[in-house]
Amino acid sequence: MIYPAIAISVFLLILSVPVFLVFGIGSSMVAVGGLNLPWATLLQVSLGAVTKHVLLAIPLFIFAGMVMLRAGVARRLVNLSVALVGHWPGGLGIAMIITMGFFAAFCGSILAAISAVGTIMMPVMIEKGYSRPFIVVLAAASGILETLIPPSNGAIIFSALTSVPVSKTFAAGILPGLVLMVLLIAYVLWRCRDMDRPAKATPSERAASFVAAIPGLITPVLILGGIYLGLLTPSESAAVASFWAIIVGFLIHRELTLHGIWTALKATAVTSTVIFSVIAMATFLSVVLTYTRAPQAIIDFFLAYGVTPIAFLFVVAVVCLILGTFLEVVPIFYLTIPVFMSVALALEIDMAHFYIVFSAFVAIGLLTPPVCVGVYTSAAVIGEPPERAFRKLPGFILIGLIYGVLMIFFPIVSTFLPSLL
Amino acid sequence: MGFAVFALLLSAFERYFIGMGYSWINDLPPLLMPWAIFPILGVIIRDERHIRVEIAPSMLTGKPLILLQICVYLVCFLAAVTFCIGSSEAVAFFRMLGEVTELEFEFPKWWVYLAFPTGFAILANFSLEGIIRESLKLAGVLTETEVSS
Repeated sequence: MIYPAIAISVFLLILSVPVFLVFGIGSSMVAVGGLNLPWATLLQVSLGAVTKHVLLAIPLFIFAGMVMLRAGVARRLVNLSVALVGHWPGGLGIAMIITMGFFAAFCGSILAAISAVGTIMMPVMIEKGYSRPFIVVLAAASGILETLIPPSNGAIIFSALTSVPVSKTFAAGILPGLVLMVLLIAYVLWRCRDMDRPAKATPSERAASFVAAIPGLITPVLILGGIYLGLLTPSESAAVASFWAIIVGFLIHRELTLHGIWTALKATAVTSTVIFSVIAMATFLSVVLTYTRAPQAIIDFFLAYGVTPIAFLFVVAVVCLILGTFLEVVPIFYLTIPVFMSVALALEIDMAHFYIVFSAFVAIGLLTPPVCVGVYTSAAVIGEPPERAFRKLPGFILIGLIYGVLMIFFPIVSTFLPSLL
Repeated sequence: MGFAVFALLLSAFERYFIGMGYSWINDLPPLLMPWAIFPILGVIIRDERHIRVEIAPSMLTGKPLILLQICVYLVCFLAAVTFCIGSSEAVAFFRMLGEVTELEFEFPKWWVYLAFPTGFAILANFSLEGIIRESLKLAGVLTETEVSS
């Protein structure tokens, strides 16, 4: 029953059937039809997955990001970044990368970050002479930072799947996030070296933009400070971030309305359902994997061939690159982590290192066509046909690959901060 | 969502400032998640917000694309009906077991499981609506403007 189920699942994926249903159909064919398991077993495992306390942080962080978006926080962060680096070659591009890094630190949604920062920055960049395809790809590439800089949904899902504490996966992403940010900035500096530079902001302009951005800058401190000081669980810190976003929007910036809260709630419900539907149905697959002992067979294969940890991480990289071309981040986590994690543990690879390598190559998939949601989202912001942006992709994909390979060979970047906890 | 924000804030507050805790404040929001997710499955199908591999749709236009959409909605409908029946059986089983939650105030656990068949029933409904809508489009009865409105 396994091979027909795989064949049908692949066919349904190509047919563009929703991924969560493909997970459900293929896995239940094997579980109920082949292994004669009762539906109750599948539901029990699925309920256990969606009611994990740590996963509650995902919708709450998304809600915080949606509220921040409507509270004018993104605009103030953009102003601060432009005041700081706007006079550099490609200054606006660099400001976009930095703002995306900041916004990622309290948003929890790549697409919300791209929409929030892109809506403000992209029209200004077009006005200043940046090419539209370059801007589209830059916004999408900067969105990758969200998969690394905490609180990222990927880190929360990885923790839920592997039982590694969220505080460790969050910490693991900080230095690699900064490395990626530096690589992207270096690339933009090189690409835009001949562009006209705007005038440098005066100290008073910088100070004013900094003061205006303080409520936004405090948010990551609240989130991570609460977790690392042991005051809050990840879910509670997400709730605090949501509450803080409402305070900022209503009382400090006074740009948030009740209608804004309502639309933020609706957007959060839809985005969360998209993520959780995959989680709920993908756990059917974990039941199948457990009963068929597939992970054990794969571990035996790797051990029998004497595969080294580095070689295994390259296998992970290639698989993630291929899957990332066709699938989005969440399904890839649930499809591969249960299997890869067992092998990584057998090869004694640090889980923080494994997570960073895994997420690096999965995130490159956000840029590779045909399924490149990052590019589609940023292209939609300025109404640019995504196909035109594709020709600017190779440079950014190369940066992503360089970053991924660096992460494979230098585990210290991902393991240093978690080792301090 | 609002309840989750409120409950988790209260949970942190009571732990640090009052020094006493009610576990239900912390444990109830995750148990409500299935009811926040499954009933919206139909909506994300209708609005095409779900995650899918867009190879086939990007290669087709016109009537072949509509036919593909009908096939997809048909698969969604059949899958939703199957999952609805399967999960209803499971809910009946859990109801028979009489299991209750481990919170301070107990309620039957099958109330939580009931979100599964409810969500799949709504999904089947929206999928059927999709089949009808795309079929009418194929027959030329509905124009794109009428469909989007």
